[in-house]
Amino acid sequence: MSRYLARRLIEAVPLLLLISMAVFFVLQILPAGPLSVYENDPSLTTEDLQRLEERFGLNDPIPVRYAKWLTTFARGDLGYSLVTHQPVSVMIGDRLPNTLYLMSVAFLVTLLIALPIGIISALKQYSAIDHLATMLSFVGYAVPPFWSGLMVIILFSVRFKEWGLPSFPASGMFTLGADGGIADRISHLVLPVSVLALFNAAHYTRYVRSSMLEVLHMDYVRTARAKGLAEQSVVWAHALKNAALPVVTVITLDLPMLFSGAVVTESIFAWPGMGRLFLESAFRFDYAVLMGVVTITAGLVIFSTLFADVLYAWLDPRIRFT
Amino acid sequence: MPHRLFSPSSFAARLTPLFAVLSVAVACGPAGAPPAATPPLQAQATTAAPKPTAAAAPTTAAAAPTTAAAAPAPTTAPRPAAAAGAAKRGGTLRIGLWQEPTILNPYLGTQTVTTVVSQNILEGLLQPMPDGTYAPDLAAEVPSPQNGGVSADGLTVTWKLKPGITWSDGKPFTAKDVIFTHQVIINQANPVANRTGYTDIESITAPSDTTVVVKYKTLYAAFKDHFDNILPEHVFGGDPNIDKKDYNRAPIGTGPFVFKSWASGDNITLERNPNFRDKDKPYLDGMILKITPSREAAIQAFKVGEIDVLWNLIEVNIPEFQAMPDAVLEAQPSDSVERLILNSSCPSGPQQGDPSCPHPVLGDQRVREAIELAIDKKALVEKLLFGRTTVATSVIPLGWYAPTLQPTEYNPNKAKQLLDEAGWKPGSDGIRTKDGVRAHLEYSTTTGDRLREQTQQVIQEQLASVGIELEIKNSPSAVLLGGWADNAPRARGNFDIGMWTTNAGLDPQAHLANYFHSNQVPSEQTRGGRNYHRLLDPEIDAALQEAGSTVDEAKRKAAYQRVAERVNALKAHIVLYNRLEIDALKKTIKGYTRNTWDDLAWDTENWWLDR
Repeated sequence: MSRYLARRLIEAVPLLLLISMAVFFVLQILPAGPLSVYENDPSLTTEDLQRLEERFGLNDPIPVRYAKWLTTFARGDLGYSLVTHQPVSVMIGDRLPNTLYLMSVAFLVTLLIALPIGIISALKQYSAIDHLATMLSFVGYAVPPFWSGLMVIILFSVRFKEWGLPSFPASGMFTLGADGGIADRISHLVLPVSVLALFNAAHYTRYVRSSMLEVLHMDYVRTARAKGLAEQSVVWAHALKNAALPVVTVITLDLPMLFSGAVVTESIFAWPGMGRLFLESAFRFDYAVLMGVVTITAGLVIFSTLFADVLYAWLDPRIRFT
Repeated sequence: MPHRLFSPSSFAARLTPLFAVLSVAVACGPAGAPPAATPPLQAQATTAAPKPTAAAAPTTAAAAPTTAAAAPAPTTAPRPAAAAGAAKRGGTLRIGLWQEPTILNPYLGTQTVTTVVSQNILEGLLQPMPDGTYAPDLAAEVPSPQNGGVSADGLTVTWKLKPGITWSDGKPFTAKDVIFTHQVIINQANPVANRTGYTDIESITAPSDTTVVVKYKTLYAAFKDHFDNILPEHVFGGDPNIDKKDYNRAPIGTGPFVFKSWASGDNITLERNPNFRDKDKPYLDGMILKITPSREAAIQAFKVGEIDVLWNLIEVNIPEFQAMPDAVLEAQPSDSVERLILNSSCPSGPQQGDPSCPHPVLGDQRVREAIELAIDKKALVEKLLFGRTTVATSVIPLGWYAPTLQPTEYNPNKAKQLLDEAGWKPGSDGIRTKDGVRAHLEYSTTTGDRLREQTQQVIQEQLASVGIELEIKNSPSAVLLGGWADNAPRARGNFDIGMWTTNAGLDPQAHLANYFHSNQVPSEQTRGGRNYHRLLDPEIDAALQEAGSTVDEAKRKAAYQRVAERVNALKAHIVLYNRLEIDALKKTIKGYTRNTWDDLAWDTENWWLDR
């Protein structure tokens, strides 16, 4: 096992390097740059633009710029944003807690919805409940969050307010100017979390259901039932434990979302998180932030894949790594 | 089974940038470019354009249309006081910003949204007023030849500062701060975006605490633009290297509000300045500038009452707001003009962008004239802009320098005649050809802007009826409005017709020279040049030269009229319509006055909430 781990970790390094290189080159090749923000200002002269180019080191050839970035990154320094004149680590540090807050609540709610429904669906296959859950899953798959988010705002925020019903806030993490405590925070969480959770729960429900179905038809489950075990014991102690394996893998692979956030949902609900940071930086060609976020996210994906594999091996003694 | 990497949920998350591009481009498009800066503002004459909305804003005498006097009378008029009704104290205002400022120091950041925030905190020597005059802000009076503030040769400007002003932290404001501001601007280590004119300053001295003498090397006609934000010397300990300092994200100024906090991505909070020089003001306790990711999200937040003021709406939002009972829509003509820019040089090949190589279709002036005759600008204004704005007549529609020109006629028959004369014969499909060249042009504007898309369709149809084929090819704002370094088509010359908005600002010299002078064709040596249409006209050059070398406003105005008339005659830019400045405010907000020459927050010390 430890040899396997060591091998995977060593393999991760060139992979990360390749990813960062590819992203860096693509960013530089794009037809716009950090100076785009200055382009439409008519009072900027040629000399001003050239001076700014020099200042921001944009005249160096691409490999030189990449090498500069790599050496600072290797030291743990994420660099300095040319657009906001702030260290990238400060910018990420400002936004990360908000994303963790939102995504972890959404994750929890997703699991709370998906697991019971998936299990019940599998147990009562082809029943009315199963068909309803399947239908809702497909709706959840098909409806994109950017549409459902806006619909949810229009209904529960704008229309409810017009009709005099208690309405949910349309944006933000808490009410401006008055941090109203837990109740206020929860009311701001409801809409974004429901959009995220419904979308993700649709997927997880299907995974749980299909995984459970597979296990429920196994011989050892039939044996357990034949032995006379209570149905609850069969489901929980035997079936679910085995069905959990692929589901746990899938959940682990999704963990990097806790860091990278949900771009669309954060944009619609004006949630100041990592997803929006990434989007804004992309539009402003803020290379330092983009490189920092992409490299960290790529690293997290690689490590979460590794973690999923290790977890799988730990849960299932039959798995051996070479 | 790495299925997760391509599963629908993560796929959707990756597809969302498409949507996000659309929504942000919609947000940014009509304004010209996402972080479009309003150039330094200066004006003298009032706009003759009427205010279309019934505003709840008290109109001061200054807002009534008046024409400018030939010579600028130095006004010592105070800023408009809060009008009708006793102002009530207290309350926190929430303003919606649908772009987050990157920085709050207006010298380092060129976005308009930066000044919307920083104007509450920082002040300058002069303040442009809605009627087009200047009022002294931190200065005691507007320097002019009459009061001895400007020397006879125009090279020396003496600023007298108001005594007894303090910074919000209690330290005194003196001439040293003005000198320090100059040092910051010209310091090579600071990434200051715009140094126009400051590098022409030969010397700047402070004979006393309240006097600053600025001597220019060459006459800088727009000197009133300078020092529009004064930085505190004592905060930096006199060190003019201000890059990477915390001050840029938490400024201290002499203005009515004090910076309190900035929750990244969420909001910027300001508080009342207890040391403001007018002890009665500001009336508000504080202000929260809420950052929303898009205009649409901000509008929803306004509807549910999370935001009180919306900034920088676009014309398509007008009907939505007119239906709201608790909101006032302020729509006022601005000096921004939406226009077509026609490339008169070769759009491709080895001589791409070279003015000496004429465009196969647009190189002939008659073709350009025909294009303008074929466009029904009134229909655009009436149908697409709800009749709320006016047809453009020149590239300089507002301000002390604005000439009154006549709108062009809509005459498709005359257009067809001109094209026939020029040798363009209609083919079997109705599109004209000449010497084997088809009258086919690429027509580009910013993506994601419904108003522009509609305009394109109308113009495409109208030109097709006279035999010119337009192919619509749009790009995102950052690409269309990029510069030489970004290989933007307009800079490199590989475009036919571009459409976007720009404006000349308070003092039009820099803008007009940059856009129309013959030595401003973009090239490796002149990367910041904006003569995208690539016409070299000695008359325009001479007029610009004259306007830039005198402080006599009458002479300058006459020169700018010649420039505008020549631009219209050459069809370098075909002006379509004047853009509106649109803000929405809740009816409970009183005390504000619209000012097209400055940003939203120019008079926030007068605002109060009628609760």
